[in-house]
Amino acid sequence: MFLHFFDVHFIDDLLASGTTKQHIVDECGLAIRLALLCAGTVFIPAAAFYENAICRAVVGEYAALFGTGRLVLVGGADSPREFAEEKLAQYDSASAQAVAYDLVLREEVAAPPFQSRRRSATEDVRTGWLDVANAPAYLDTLFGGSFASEKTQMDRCWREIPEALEGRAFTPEYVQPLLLPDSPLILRRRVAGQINRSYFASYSTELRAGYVDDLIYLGNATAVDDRFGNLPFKQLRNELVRQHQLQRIVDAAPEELEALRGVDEIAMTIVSVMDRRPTGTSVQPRLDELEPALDDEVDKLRAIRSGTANATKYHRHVAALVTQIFAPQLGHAIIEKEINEGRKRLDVFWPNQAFANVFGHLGSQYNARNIVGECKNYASELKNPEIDQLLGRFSRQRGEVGFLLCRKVRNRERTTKRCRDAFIDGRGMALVLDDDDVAIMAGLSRDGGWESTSAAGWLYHERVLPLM
Amino acid sequence: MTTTLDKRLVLCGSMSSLGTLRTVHAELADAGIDAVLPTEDDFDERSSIDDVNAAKRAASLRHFDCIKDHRTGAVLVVNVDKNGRHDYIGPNAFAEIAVAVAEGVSVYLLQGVPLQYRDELDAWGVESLEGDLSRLKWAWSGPAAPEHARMLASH
Repeated sequence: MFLHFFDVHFIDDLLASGTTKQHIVDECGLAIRLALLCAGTVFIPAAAFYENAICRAVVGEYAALFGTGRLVLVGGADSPREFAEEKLAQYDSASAQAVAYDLVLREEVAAPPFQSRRRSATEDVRTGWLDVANAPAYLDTLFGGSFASEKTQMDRCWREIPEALEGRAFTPEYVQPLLLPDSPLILRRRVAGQINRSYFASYSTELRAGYVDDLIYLGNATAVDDRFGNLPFKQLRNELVRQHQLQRIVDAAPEELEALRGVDEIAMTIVSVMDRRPTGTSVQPRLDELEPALDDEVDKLRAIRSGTANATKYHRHVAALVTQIFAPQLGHAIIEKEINEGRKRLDVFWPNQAFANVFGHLGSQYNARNIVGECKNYASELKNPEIDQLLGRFSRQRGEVGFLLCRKVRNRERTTKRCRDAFIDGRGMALVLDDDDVAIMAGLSRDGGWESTSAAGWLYHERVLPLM
Repeated sequence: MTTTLDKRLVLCGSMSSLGTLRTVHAELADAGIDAVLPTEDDFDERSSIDDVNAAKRAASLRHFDCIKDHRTGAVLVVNVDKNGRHDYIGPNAFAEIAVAVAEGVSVYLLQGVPLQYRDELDAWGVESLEGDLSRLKWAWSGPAAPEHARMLASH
């Protein structure tokens, strides 16, 4: 887990807006404890640890774990020394930050081990900024239905911002004046939210880490990346109270936390709250970025005869093929994933790993945190019961977008109307894909972009948009 | 005769908006408007679930009483964005709006009207300030305040 809430600017903003230091300290303290219970490794932004007294005090309570690798600092340099030297060059020598980094150079700060970053957060923020503008009606999505004239003004210069910054940091303070000087506070906050979202996602993408979200005093205005399993703080805290386990966790010494991870009542409470990650059998390894030709696989799909006898063969084959088509936006397909304590099974289940473009948009706008798949190896036309079966697999936690994979849609207009009715009623997004659809997408690019020349773009234009 | 000027505002919002609640409270105080903040939700990690629920219930009832108090002229819901949900109104704030409406107390939203509650909030005459607190200050403490408040409501 990546503890984004320790970020220096994030905590400074909270203090400036009137949140008390005690609330921040208390919530940081419990959040890090719950993160250590739930995650193998807990990442802390190095700058936050060195520069922020709250972070240093809270993390410092876990000094006994520094040698275990459970807590790790992450920063954009090869070593703590290099990190401190780079930071010292940025701050006035009399500043508190300079004093803190001077102590690092003199090796007087006990700290968790340091891990170097490979990605550039600035580059990721820039990419995220441009990606978001490719989405349909992106300004309505970001800023809501009001502020029409402001949105028109922003639309004129949104794509020019990376250049207009002329090398200055891609931060809200520099972006806001270029985008829309004197804009209303709500818009300024939402612009900052977009930048922060990409900034934090830069870390989660590299570390493949989830976040502690659903925080109370440390809550985010913007949704954080949710591709790698987030810990819902308030929900878990309250459930641990219900199970009479929270006090035990709070009272434990840091070195006792490892043993608590093995306590059934605690483990089961965590699992019940976080039960949204896939389990089951992976179909086959993916060749993510090689884009191998899939013609042979399409031919094999078409050769499978429809009917019950070949249902499993079709199920496995089409799941593997769709996985290849949408890699790496979708993760490994999990077949026959059990849900509801084993009372139901999903034919296929794909974790949505995309943060931008088509699947990123479906994830953030239509709750496609995972894609649920149902496979029907029928020769006959699909009707409402099959669509209803897929819709019945949706949930807020699991996701509300799915593929209904079938052999042939004979009346596309009628099928689309059935799915549109369900979508408009708020029951979720069922996308019916037959062999012809799979064959078309198998021949397209797998870059995940919006153009119809990519499989994801084709899916969006041909199967998603008609439902709206 | 009692005018809007003699009345106070009751602020509502989730604990995640506590910072903004305090900022708004201070801004209103500067404008001479008496406003009441919600009680902070102090969670004790050593409490039982019964204690937690009892504390939550007591805090809710206290704030409902504040809204129903004859000195209250309006409720201002500080509905800042939360976890990507624009103009967030949580279950507590929604209940507080309902209590205010039932008592005939005017309700203002600091930000916009969240889509999922639009029908109800529109029907109940809840007014959105679209982030511009000066609209409330003007309606509240300008000359002939109640008349201005009515104009704002019909705008």
